[in-house]
Amino acid sequence: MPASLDAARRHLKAGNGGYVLIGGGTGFTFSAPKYIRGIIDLSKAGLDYITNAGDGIHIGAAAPLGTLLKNPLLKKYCGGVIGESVLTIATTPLRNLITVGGNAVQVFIWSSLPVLFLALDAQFVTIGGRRRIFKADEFFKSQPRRQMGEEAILKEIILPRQKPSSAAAFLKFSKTETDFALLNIAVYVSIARNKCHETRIALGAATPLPIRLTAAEEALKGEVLTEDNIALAAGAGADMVNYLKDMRVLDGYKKQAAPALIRRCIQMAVERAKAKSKA
Amino acid sequence: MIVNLNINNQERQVEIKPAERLIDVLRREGFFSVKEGCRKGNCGACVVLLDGSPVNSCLIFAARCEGRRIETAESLGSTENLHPLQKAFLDEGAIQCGYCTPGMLLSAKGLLNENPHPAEDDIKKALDGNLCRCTGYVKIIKAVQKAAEAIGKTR
Repeated sequence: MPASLDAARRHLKAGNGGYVLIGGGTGFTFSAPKYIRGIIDLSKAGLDYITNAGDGIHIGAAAPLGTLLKNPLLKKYCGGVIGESVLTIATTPLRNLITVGGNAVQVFIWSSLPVLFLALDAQFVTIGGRRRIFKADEFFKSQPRRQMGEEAILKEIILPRQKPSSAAAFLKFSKTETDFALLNIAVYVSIARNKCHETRIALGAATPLPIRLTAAEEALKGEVLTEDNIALAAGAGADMVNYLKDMRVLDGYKKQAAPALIRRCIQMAVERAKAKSKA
Repeated sequence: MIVNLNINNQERQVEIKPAERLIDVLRREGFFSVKEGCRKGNCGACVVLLDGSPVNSCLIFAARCEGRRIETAESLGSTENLHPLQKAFLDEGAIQCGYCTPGMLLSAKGLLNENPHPAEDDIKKALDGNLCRCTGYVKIIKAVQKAAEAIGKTR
């Protein structure tokens, strides 16, 4: 259990590929891969902070999800979308163990936060790897661990400063509240002169890694955010996806459900942005 | 390896294996209220409080708990002097087989530590990681409400 990030880096290097970093480590307690010779636990490396800096909110990689729900900065961020997303992950006792960095680095198809980070245009700061900062679009192009390099450690995630008249929304669609998602949708939107100035729409649980629905984004940019325009954009976004099969639902189910869910999530974000601009 | 654990307000030095789970260490030390259910963090039978917050002791390495405060159901009360949560669970009939009860009590205590006057929805959210396959949840929620009232009166 290294007491600093530098110490963690030294351990990682000494392990020569046989050591693995853990945040919450919940998965490793029952399914650690056999090649692993050692575990480097980041819980005491000083990475559990949440601070407001000039460029946005910095969240240390080892901050447990439970602390994200209580943090006053994050409660206000983009209409409380962080909490909205975190509450869809696992259960209360598990959220006190799972870390934000672990959730971002080891992406499962059902993961919630990577979808939201993609929509919010978050940045990922790493130490010891090939590059220091990744934008969300690059970070989730393939498994983040591969993007970062085996020798790198995720230090923090930066949520960009909120723009005026902007908001975000997150929607998890699943059979029960604690089941893995059938679809996850995250939408960020900013409004100027009653029109869509900028939007980022991300979909998860449809493909191995979360993707941006660029067709939906393009359909909305510069347009008045009417119900019809939003529905057309949602349909265009849903159409551009090759949905993976899922044993829990019939083939084609996700493709049929996606337009309505994307539309709902866009509407949620738009209503929040409009309310913010009136306030 | 040796870890220093504060278990139920008592400092202990415990010898553990590096990859040993907290639940295994606690049961070996005699804290049998900590139950093993699913082993995957789904059922909540193993919930303990770690520095006041509920966690699944089946999914955390004991080594990670160095210097930290652990509370199990043994810390709540005695047969002669029940904790308000234990009394409310008995009074409301919120116990049947009892296997889930220690985890339920500790998740509820974690909630009341932070929010002494929880709404019904707060209680449901706080207990979302604890499964009961006997009683259902109505009586358990009522018991937590009753305990919150009782604790409020004594403050």
